[in-house]
Amino acid sequence: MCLHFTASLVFDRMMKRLRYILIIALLASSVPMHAQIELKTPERVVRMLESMPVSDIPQSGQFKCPDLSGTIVFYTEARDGVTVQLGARIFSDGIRNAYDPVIISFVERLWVELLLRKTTESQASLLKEYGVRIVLGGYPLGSGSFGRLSQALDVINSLSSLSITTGGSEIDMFMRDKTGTTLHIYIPSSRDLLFPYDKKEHEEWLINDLTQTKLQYKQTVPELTDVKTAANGLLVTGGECYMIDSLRNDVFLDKDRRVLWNPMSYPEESMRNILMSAADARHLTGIVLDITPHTYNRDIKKFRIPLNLFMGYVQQQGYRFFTGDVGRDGNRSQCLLTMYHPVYNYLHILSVSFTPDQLEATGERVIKADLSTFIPQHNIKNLFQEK
Amino acid sequence: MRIKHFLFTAALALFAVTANAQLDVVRFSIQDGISDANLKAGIEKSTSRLLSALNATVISGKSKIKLEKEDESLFTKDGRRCLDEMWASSAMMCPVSQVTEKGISMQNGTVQVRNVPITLLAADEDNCEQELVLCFNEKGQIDNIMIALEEHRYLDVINAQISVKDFHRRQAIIDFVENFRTAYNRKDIEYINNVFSDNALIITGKVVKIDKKRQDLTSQSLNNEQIQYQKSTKEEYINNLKRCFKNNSYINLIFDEIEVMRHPKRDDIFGVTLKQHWNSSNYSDVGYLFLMINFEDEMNPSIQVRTWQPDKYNGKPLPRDEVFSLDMFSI
Repeated sequence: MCLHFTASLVFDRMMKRLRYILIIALLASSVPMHAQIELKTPERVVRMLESMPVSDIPQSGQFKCPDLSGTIVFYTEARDGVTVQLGARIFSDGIRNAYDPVIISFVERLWVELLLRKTTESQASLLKEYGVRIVLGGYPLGSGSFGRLSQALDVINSLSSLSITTGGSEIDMFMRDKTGTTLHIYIPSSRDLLFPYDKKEHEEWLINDLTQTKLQYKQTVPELTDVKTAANGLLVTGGECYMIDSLRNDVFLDKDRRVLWNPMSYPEESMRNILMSAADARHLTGIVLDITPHTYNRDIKKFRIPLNLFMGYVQQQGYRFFTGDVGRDGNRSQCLLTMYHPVYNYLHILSVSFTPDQLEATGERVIKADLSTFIPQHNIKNLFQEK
Repeated sequence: MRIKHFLFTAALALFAVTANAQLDVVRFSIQDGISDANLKAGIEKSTSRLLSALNATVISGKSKIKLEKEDESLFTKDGRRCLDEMWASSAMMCPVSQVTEKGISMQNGTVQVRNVPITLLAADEDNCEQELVLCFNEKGQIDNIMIALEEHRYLDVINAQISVKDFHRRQAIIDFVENFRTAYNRKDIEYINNVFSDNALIITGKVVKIDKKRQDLTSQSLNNEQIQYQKSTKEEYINNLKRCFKNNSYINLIFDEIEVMRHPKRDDIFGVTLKQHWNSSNYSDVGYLFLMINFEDEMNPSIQVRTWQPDKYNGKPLPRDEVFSLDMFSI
């Protein structure tokens, strides 16, 4: 389906907004889903679309805008029938396929926003607002020999090398052209900046994805190169922690150095082995998570998803997993799974509450869980401030 | 481009032209630490030439470092590559004309010179003033160049005593604060209205100029600004916000430097201090935001106190002990 828009009239703009709206009716699945989510074009993209000085913008596809830039091709991308990206096609297909599409899409979206600004000063001002630095030959935009944005494009158009360094507080996209001129694009490692979605929108897409996923859990058997004895006497492998000492990537082992599965004696450790993707897939069979989402949109209700599918989905997202024990109330245990994305710097936290019987039994059993999503980590100075 | 950089560059360029003075020239000398006179002279020459070349390149606006042909021999191959890589990350200049430092003799016969002041033109305002560490071989050639980075600003220290439950609660605070920020960017007045307690205390600071006639001559030149605080009710604040949302087609709040503190006696009361960057169609500012959040009802936390203070006045950053925090309010 290809939608066409006419600009200039207020009415048309309103219509443009409405046309991006699509209500996704959730498909029936093996468990009842209570969440019905209205997926829309991200507000940021809507604002950009409304600012484009051109009338025919496809919902998904390429278009030109000679008034803005005579040579650059613009494009939109749609997901589930909703336009989610507007970018300037400045990178080749080879680069687009080889590097993180989120980072490439961000830079191409940023380029549109920069082109929509008439002067170098206002472009530099937008970069300052976003905390992004474009540095050509050592100079940021608007200083030294870097007077025009098109100079950066000249480097991109005759690239001899490109590397993207991630994992710190900043992403460094480093390019060199055939004459040796260098271009750095420094981008804060922040989900909010890198994705077109704000937190509300991103949460809605995530819950929608979770309720539709078909990805299956895959067991990852740990390497037994560094096995230690934990305080409770069990053997563990892993050893890394996230922020606090008791939130770890440990996998628990039995005395024969096999992945531990003993829910009656070690319920928390058995659950944490599932959450670390180390447990055998058969131990997840029949377990359904009854998830209470803690999201911006309070209208998203509880939903159920097989643990097998939940884990299958999150395993594919590039997260680093850490688990911990929250505590026990009678024979009910509570464990935490934190899913940290090291490039986009956010956390999802799943808290599960269960009894040993629920892990041990066969057949369908429902485990209560709470899910908090897209908690930013890039802007925390001190989470545990004390006076 | 930052004004500071621009003014500095412009000043250098202007002086170079009008006064015919070579302000790009930097003289570096070693005070002590090296007994070998030849090595000392070699290091002084290499460093002086390097810093002068950086300044000359910035003044000319060129994208590659301009070194005199004979100066190339002042670097080893690794040192030259290192310089080019650093320059590609950011043009840099030495903001002073005379630098005197100690030489530190290393066990392998090499020498380090630290604390060489440098201004990074591509860095943001908070990080542009840095110090170089230069490493020399036994011949006095520059073999490596590093920036002496300050401590990482994020908390890397592992907190051994914090429980998983406490971690979870504090991350819930960060989640709440992110939702709160999102509500402003979405202009979601209903969300904001819901999260403020009905009897919330709302305090907003404003920088005002002091009447100069009432000041003595000394204080006139130094401190002619002060912060005045205004208290408002939730209703007044929400009404002001509605007007603000109406007048700005675009709002982009950015929160940074978030600090979370729990009340010493109440487990469900938290204080959050953060730096707020307000960007909107008509107006931008930076200030400190403090929120006192009641988590008694975990699904519906409420804000009991909100304060905002400008991050600077009298041309200086707001002193840390003047920023509102949890211990300034009694519950």
